[in-house]
Amino acid sequence: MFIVTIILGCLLGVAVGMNLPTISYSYSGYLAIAIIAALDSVFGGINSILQKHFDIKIFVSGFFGNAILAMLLTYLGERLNVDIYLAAVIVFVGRMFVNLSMIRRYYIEKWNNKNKITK
Amino acid sequence: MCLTIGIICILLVSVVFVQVKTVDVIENSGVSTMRESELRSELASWKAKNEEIENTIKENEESIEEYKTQTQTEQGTLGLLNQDLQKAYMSLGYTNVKGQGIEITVSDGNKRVGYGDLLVLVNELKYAGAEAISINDERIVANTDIVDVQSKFILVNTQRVMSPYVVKAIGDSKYLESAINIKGGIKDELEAEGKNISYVLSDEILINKYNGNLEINYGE
Amino acid sequence: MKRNHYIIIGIICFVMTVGICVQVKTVDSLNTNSGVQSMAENKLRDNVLKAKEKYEASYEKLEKSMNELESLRKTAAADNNEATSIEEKISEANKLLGLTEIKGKGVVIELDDSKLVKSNEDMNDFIVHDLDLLEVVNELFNAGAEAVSINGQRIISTTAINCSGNIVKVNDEKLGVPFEIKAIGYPDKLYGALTRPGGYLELMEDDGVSVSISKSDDISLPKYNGVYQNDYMQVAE
Repeated sequence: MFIVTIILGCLLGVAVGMNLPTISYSYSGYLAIAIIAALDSVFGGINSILQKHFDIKIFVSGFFGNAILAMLLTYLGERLNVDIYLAAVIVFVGRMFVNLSMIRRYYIEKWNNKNKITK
Repeated sequence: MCLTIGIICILLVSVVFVQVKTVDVIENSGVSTMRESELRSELASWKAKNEEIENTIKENEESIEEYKTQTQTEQGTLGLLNQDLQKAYMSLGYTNVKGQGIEITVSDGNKRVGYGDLLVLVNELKYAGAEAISINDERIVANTDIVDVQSKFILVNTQRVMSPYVVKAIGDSKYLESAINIKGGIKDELEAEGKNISYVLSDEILINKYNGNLEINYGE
Repeated sequence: MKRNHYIIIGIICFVMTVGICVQVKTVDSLNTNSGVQSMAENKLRDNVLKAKEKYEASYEKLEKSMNELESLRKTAAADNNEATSIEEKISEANKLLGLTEIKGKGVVIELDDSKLVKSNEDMNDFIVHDLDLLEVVNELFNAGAEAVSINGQRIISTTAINCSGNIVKVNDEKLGVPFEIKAIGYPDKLYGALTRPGGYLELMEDDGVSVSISKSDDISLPKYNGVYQNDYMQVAE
């Protein structure tokens, strides 16, 4: 099932991540923003699963697409002397909160419905 | 589809770990708050340390080769071991040594030279890379102490020394000279206090060995 | 109409690209730091971190080579009494050189900047200076200390203690408060000498520095984590 792949994947990720070397200082900023973009995609993905809109193509393309776009924008911001990455952080984290609240509502409604039925 | 999700999980989690480790290293080193000049001096210092350590590794590897090839005979073995012992004794201060360096003479002037002056002078020489130092032929070793007795005379390694104090140091003579000469440094300070200091650079400074015995009785 | 639209779009693209290029060139030529750290400094940071990593990797290699040397010596000296005694002298010398960890009895001194700094007083008195460390170590040796370390830096014959700016460096490595000075020796003698009236610790305490000293039967000092440089000196007869 899904959950198993996710858990296995994460455990493997820990094993791999622990053994990879650290990256150089100049690039760590880009990696950071890419992680935030990726996390936003993950939350979006979870939400769409619950809403039964999930499309693997949208998810994967969003995952990598957002990460790459975020890195490019950060780089552009550095060259233009504008902190573009700030906006990216605000947008991605903002969307994470929105998705999280929708996930929350979904489960609370489900729990409410369960109670109604058993009544 | 499960495979894709699995791969994405692995990717995301491992990347997060890499980033966390990287940030950890960066924070510990303190480089993020350093400015250009500090960074340059840090870089220079690490480069120097790397050079030192690489030289030592090379020396060790040569030694290892020697031990592998020359220890067939008893003579060979004894030769190598004695060589290593000499090297260790030289670092300890148990042997007379020679090399380029500086000879500084500090003497009482209007004011008497105190233990603190010699302590600071020796420290400055060490910072400038002095490999061996002696005060009036008393060799400075790891546990050397410099103290005043009744503000009348100075003891180095419990041996009495009197003005004028001849401080010899072996190392890069230009470096040692600039350490003493630097504006506001030890030379300026001593002269401002009414004490005398002069020095000569030399290609062959001779420093005597330590006449005492180093030992560690309270530890292993 | 459509043609005009194309022309307008074209002009806008042109203007935007020109603007971006001008901005990029301007930023490159300046060395501004307004919120965005300049690339040159970042490169330096990179290089510092890389040099540090290289050092740590080299250090591991060094330790391995030293261990190998030691075991080669032992095996070479195994069946010869004279050789064994020389090998033992070498081991003893390495111990005295500070190249091995030491455990034993002694004292532990802790020095910290004063907690009670009043804003209108001279800060200088309340901070631990490099000179203070130099004096305390000197007193310890005077009292018979056989080995000393400060915050994990072993004091050897060529150890220098000084400050660059506000930071204290021992063996050319940065150290910060609180300073933990460990010394191996006869605990009662060390303790008595350093806590004597008129001693340097008392002077520091009077100045407001936070000082504490305790005897211990179980202190462990780390080994010297650098190498002995003998580029300029050689044995003389």
